[in-house]
Amino acid sequence: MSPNIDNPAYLLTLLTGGLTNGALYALVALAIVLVYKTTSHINLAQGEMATLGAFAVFALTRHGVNVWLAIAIALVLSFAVGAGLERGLIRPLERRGIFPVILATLALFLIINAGVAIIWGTSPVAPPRPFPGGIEDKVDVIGGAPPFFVTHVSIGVLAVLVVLLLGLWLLLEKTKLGLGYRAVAANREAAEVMGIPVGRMYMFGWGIAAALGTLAAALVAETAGALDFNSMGAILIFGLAAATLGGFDSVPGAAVGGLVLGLVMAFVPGLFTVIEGDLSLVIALLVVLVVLLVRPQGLFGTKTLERV
Amino acid sequence: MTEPLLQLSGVHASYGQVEVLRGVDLSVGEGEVVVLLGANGAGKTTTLRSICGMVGTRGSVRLGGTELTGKPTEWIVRQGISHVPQGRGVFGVLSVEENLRVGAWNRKDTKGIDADIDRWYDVFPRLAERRTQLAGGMSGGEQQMLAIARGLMARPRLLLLDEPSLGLAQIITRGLFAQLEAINREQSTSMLIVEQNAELALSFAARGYVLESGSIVLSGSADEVRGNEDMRRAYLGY
Repeated sequence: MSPNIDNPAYLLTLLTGGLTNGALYALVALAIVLVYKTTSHINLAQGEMATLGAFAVFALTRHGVNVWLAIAIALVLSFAVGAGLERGLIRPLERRGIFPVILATLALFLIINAGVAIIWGTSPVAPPRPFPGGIEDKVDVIGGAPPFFVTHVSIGVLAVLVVLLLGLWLLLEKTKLGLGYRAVAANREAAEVMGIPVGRMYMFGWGIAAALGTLAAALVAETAGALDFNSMGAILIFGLAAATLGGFDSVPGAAVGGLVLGLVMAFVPGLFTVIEGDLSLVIALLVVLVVLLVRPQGLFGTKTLERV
Repeated sequence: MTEPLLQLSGVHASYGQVEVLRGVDLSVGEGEVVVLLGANGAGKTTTLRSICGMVGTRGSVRLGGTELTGKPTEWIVRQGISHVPQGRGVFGVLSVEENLRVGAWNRKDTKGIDADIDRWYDVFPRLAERRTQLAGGMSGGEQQMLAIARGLMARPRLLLLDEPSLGLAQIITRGLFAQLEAINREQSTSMLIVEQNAELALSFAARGYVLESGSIVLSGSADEVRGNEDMRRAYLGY
């Protein structure tokens, strides 16, 4: 047990740290889920596409573009790249089965990873900062030793997640486009018979996912204080773990899964000091293992029924 | 003689190497109800799927003189065809009302869509009671009502119904066919119905076809089909 277990400031610090990281996992999980819901594919290159997007923000800000404008431009570009990849690469391969698609996303992973390293080098760069990240940019809540404070970055990341979830909810639940997307996700063939352009809904899912990924990568870099070609490698695994926990076909599940995973990964090593070293990956994979054994569909996912 | 609303001429369809339809000729007139009978595996569902471009097809399928063969499904349904698939295919994770709105996907007249939704709630009060519920939680009969109402939300010229009575209690089936009859009478919606319950379907349809191993073996008015000695043999498949 940690000696600080009865210190409220310490526990609150674990809480905000866990929620902030959890929000980032949630963003990546959302991207994975939005692709999976309609196409039943898992895009292994989701993280690398996101890194590319974050480097696009970096490149734009270096040329003097305002950081928020740069993010907006990168989001639009990411959407176009995501939708284009679905149309141009994934859909032609899909007819040949699931394995060519998996291999194609793996190839994309390697190509983008290497491409980013070639263009921007392998050493970390200072990330663009949408939120003030200085040592004094924090809100003090409890003074003393240890103090409890919330950084502006944490507040910003959580605010982005909340705004994004609200926006996604409005888009998916309140618009005709969202209705079409959900109909395709629910039953592809029936949606086709209703006259819904199924292919365009796939592109929409891939596009939104790519844009979400770019936003996630920009925030991951901001939180970590550095951006490099491998920034999203581990985060993709945490995102996959969060999606597994929440349920691969559930949008709210991805958000809850991400936050819960973030909390588990903050509190388990934070409270049990027996555990030495960085065990975050082990904890994430343990969560995945437990979910798959106990509740394979995840917290909010739908059970797959095979009709025979 | 003017061309019927739907005209299939020499339609062949296959799944991979297996040819399921071997030259089907069939027509449905404007405002007419036609029933398609046949044993399991005779190709009834495939006939409906070939009309909607959901299976590789050779031959000619024309709707009001427009060739449909080779066109994508989403384009074909825009020409005025609604297909209510076998096993209903409602969107289980969407609400009843959302299912109906998806049915009206290709319509732009918001007021007309709202009016039609209210109208199907009048026809099927069970759906009105459950409008905000997820469709997947409803009984088989309710899902069937929803699937048909959803199909009609598009205001189709031609409604394709695949086994509407499958899995329904007899009393519900009778109510359903009464509704279909009213819809046909009031809106002169043409219908092509695949049905196991031959007696019931023939009492409602004007004409019938019997399909056997991918070919039409008998066609005629409902009375002729019902009276035919071979009909039972063909229909039962031995």
